[in-house]
Amino acid sequence: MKKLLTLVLVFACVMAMAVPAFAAETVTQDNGTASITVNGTYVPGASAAERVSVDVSWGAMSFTYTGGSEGTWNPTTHAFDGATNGKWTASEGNTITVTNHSNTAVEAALSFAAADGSNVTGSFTETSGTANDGVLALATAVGTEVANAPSATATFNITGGEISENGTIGTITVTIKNK
Amino acid sequence: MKCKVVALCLCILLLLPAFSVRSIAAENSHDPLTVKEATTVSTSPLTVDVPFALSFADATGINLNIRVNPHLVDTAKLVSPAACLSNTLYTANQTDDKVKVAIASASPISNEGVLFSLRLTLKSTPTEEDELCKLLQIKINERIISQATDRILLTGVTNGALYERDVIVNFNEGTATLNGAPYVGGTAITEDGSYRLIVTDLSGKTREINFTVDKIPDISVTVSWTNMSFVYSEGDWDPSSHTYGTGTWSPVSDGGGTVAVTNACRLTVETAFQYVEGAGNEGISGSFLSDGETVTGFVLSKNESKSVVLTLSGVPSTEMNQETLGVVTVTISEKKEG
Amino acid sequence: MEKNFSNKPKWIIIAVLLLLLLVIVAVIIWAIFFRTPDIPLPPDYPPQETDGNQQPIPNDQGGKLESPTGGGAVNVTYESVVTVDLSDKTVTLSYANPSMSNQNVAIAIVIDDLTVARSALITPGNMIKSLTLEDKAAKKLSVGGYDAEIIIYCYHPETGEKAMVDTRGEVTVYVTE
Repeated sequence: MKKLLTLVLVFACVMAMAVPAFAAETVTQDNGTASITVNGTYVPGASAAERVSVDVSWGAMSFTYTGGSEGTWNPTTHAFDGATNGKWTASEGNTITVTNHSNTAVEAALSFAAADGSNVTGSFTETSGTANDGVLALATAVGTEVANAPSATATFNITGGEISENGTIGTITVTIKNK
Repeated sequence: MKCKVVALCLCILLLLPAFSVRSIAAENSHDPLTVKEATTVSTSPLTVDVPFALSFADATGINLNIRVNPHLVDTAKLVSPAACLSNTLYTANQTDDKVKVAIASASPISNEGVLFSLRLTLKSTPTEEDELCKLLQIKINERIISQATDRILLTGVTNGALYERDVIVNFNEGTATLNGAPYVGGTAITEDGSYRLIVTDLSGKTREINFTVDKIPDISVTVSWTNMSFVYSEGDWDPSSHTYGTGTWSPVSDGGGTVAVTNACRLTVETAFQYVEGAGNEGISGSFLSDGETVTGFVLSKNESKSVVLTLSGVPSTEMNQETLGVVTVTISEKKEG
Repeated sequence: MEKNFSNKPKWIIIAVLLLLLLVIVAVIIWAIFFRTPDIPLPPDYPPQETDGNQQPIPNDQGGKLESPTGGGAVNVTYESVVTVDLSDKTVTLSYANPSMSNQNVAIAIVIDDLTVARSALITPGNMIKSLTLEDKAAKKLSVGGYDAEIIIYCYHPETGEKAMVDTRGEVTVYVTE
């Protein structure tokens, strides 16, 4: 029974593999003709291979940490007056802009990792109208001019931690994903 | 309708023994019996008059023994007697497939030209190959002037002919073989080939007919094609210009876009391929590849097959779904010598 | 008394074996949960050598991307398919650093914490189509497909200082024999 079923299935597979002629016509007259209609289908962008191409530009990303202060000793109270906490200030150029030139929509996820041994933390604020979720959503560039390619910008700020000397405080990573 | 058959009656005086002709010539110096072209008398039923010309001099008794083909002839009677028969007694009696014409005169009579006509009522319209009747014997004044040894009458075939159709042969008596195998009259011969038909009559005499059946028409070329639907794929995306490169058209199925031509006739033919763009898709052109080379056509010998693959080029101007892009036309023509 | 003397060596052996077992378990636990992943650690100041496989980008458009003073700008263009040939230890890919970028870049192909291949510097106007398969990856990878990342590190073209911004993208690595 198994062998018979196998034979039937093999026969069915062989028949399925055959590529028969779609149609045929016999011409029986001198200067006779056969006409064949040709059809076409085209969906813009449907079959093109995705090509990712984005511009990533960033500012100087220079931040200054001013350490905290104990304040001024007050002999009267035997306490320090006007103590202050440390704070970070950004120089100009703490923005990241991603511009999409791909034939597909992409997302640029922004993240910050402090350098080894550092406790610095940071956050991003999107400034180009997209949801402030640390992800820049960029539409496809198909149908746009190069100068008007979809673009999004976020501002990076240090939110915590401290440093005791000049140096690299961490790395910002822009992770591009197809949408 | 004038009956087009010229050789309806093969009352064959050509088979007369030479001495008989000479004897007549010596006595009477007149022409032998001849049969004139038949004329149609009526079409319903189909009736023809077959003139018999017999020249003789000073005869008081004339007897003709004629065999008609029972496949075609229904009845036969004597009509249009010559003037010399006006004072004679003449009869024409049909018994089965034999017609006996007897002429008796009290005084000697002479004749040149048509002596009488035999009016035949036919069962069906005969063709050029059909034999209606045969002369068996002529007696003038009781002396046999001619006697045919061949009594076999045929319909449906002519010796040495080429037929591009089925052939059906009928004969009035005897048995037959076709290429050595028994053949029953009325059986269709359908296969292409060369045939030898030998009919043997009841007395053992034979008649041989050779013919050929070749039903392949002059031009018969099969044009077949696979799925002729194509889909356009864009070229590579160029981020620097925000445009796609020139794309390609591909058949939607494996092996699609193929046109095969098979020559099934005896002639060598020429095939020509042409692609004509459809309205609105004038920017999409087509060409044909055979073994990797662009071709516009080729020559096909008998039983030869070749194929081409249609390739399209050009950028579609708009989105489309199974829209007619164009038409492939394959033209077949006989290859002329020279 | 004879009984005490004959049991002592046995106990010592058992104790040593137990200790050994504990050490092995500890090592295993450390390897699984606490070992630092082997991710690429790019130097802050890489050697100023360009990748020997880099080649000019055909039809490269001119111009420079704008970036704020002190910052940088790169165009990141890559194909999402990367193939690895285990037999000749080559990695085939396509990454271009167009001349509009104002940074040198170095790239790495990474599967989880395994570096598949890395490049030296690719200067603006050049592209790379082939890299050498890392030895560790050659031993670990097998025929099939892997989800991976391409990491782009940027370096100042004059000072060589590594930029603060890295870029990562999704690629698929197909491994063949």
